[in-house]
Amino acid sequence: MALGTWVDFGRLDDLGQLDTAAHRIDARAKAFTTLAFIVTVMSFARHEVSALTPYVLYPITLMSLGRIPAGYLFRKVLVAAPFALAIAIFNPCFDRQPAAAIGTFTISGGWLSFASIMVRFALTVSAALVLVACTGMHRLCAGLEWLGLPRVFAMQLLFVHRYLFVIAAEGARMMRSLQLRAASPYRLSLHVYGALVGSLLLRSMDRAGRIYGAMLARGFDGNIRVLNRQAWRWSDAAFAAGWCLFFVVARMWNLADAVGRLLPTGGAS
Amino acid sequence: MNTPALAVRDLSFAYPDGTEALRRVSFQIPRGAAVALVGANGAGKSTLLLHLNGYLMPRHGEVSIANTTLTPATASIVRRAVGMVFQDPDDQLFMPTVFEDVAFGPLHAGLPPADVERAATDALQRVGMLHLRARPPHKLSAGEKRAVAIATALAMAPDVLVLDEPTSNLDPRGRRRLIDLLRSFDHSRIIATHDLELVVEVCTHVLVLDGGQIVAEGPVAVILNDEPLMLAHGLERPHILRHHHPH
Ligand SMILES: Nc1ncnc2c1ncn2[C@@H]1O[C@H](COP(=O)(O)OP(=O)(O)O)[C@@H](O)[C@H]1O
Ligand SMILES: [Mg+2]
Repeated sequence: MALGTWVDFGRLDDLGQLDTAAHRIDARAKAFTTLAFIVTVMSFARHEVSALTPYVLYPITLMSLGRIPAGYLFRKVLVAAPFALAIAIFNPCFDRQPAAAIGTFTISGGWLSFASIMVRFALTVSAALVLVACTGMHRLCAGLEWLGLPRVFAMQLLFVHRYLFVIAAEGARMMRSLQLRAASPYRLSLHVYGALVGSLLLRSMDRAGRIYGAMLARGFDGNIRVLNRQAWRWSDAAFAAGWCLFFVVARMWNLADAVGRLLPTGGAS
Repeated sequence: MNTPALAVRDLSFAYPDGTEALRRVSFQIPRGAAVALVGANGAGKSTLLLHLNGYLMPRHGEVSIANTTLTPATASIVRRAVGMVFQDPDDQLFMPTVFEDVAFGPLHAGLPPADVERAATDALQRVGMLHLRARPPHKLSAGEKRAVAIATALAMAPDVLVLDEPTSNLDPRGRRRLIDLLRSFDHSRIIATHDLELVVEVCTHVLVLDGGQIVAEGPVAVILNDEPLMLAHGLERPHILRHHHPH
């Protein structure tokens, strides 16, 4: 069940139900701020690493306000890391121009952009995860729709989320019956695995269809409605405005360098 | 006038793979009555129930609720009048908390927030599950899930309740609670089940389905006491009828 516990989407949903300072911030404010965060982080030059570091403040603040366990978040980011690695790994091979030096040690541009991609990946993925964990998918989709995301996409997002659970649950059930019957599930032939994946897909589609039927049976007409939509408060506006200001300032000035120069011991360069 | 709460006329249905699941099924449910739908596995019970709120749209034959015939155009009206409880509660519960799940129907019927709260609270109270309101549905026991699934249907204030094998997978205590609950409703009810004691305690009429056809129908005492009939269609005569004298 190693995969099950690593993926563990259910935990994300449970966290979304907590009631903390971070959860009480309006979904629209959080969604907007996180979007601004991602856009800013992505807009940096490709060799930039140090200027990105102050941005870690945003996910960390939201995470501690929302009482999201750091270890949980870290594992989730690791699960997705191979995708970023696959993109970043080619940079050091193609770009061998020296771009920076630490003492007598020179670093090629390729390695810098490799580091930059990995840092950006960690920042954006953790910010998105924290957003979901301290908002809840349903409220988040309603918030995104309000922000102007076309309804079709908001619904797609909601269903993809819901069906991920379905597939994970069906997968867990199949693994259980497999473990009961096979001495070691890791020694099965490719043929058996193929059959398993096919049947997982069919079962998931069946179940997804029935869940959609249950939604229709209870009057779902394509509009996502949310009970107690929070009223927009001044603190929500302040949250969004405050962070956006920070993102802009950190984009224009390299705060990490500035802090380094202010510190008395940091005068090496 | 005595319009039946639910009427099915000449309903036939075949799955895309060619399985003929229903053949010319006709029956009526009087207002306020509880009718059992019995039959072996694969007899077509679930298929029939899925037609009653347009999850499967009737193409050969007709389904009407009160005075409304089910068509794609009337489906949303019919769905509001028919409370459907699926065979597997995991198919039915899809929101992050029990309360939001029960509130989903009233909310999407466009009720104002205060009424939505009240409808959901009342329905949860009715099934005795109000204390679970903040829990995620996928972490409940089988009996709790089933009760919450029934609450999701009740919250829409339906005229007709449709239940597919409501006591399957329940332990004896959960099953007893559910039977008492079903008996306490005054909705028109159609209940597909293998649980013949439930039939005896809750229902007044029985429809026997076999191979997609209705092969017998009548009062509970008459049908369930007909041992040759029951055996011929993969069922048995329930024990409680042997010991008690049927009314
Ligand atoms: N999705 C489907 N596709 C094809 N055949 C189906 C499907 N669902 C059910 N059937 C078939 O239709 C018949 C009736 O099934 P069902 O209504 O589920 O019976 P019951 O609920 O009485 O056990 C069975 O022969 C079954 O194999
Ligand atoms: Mg069935």
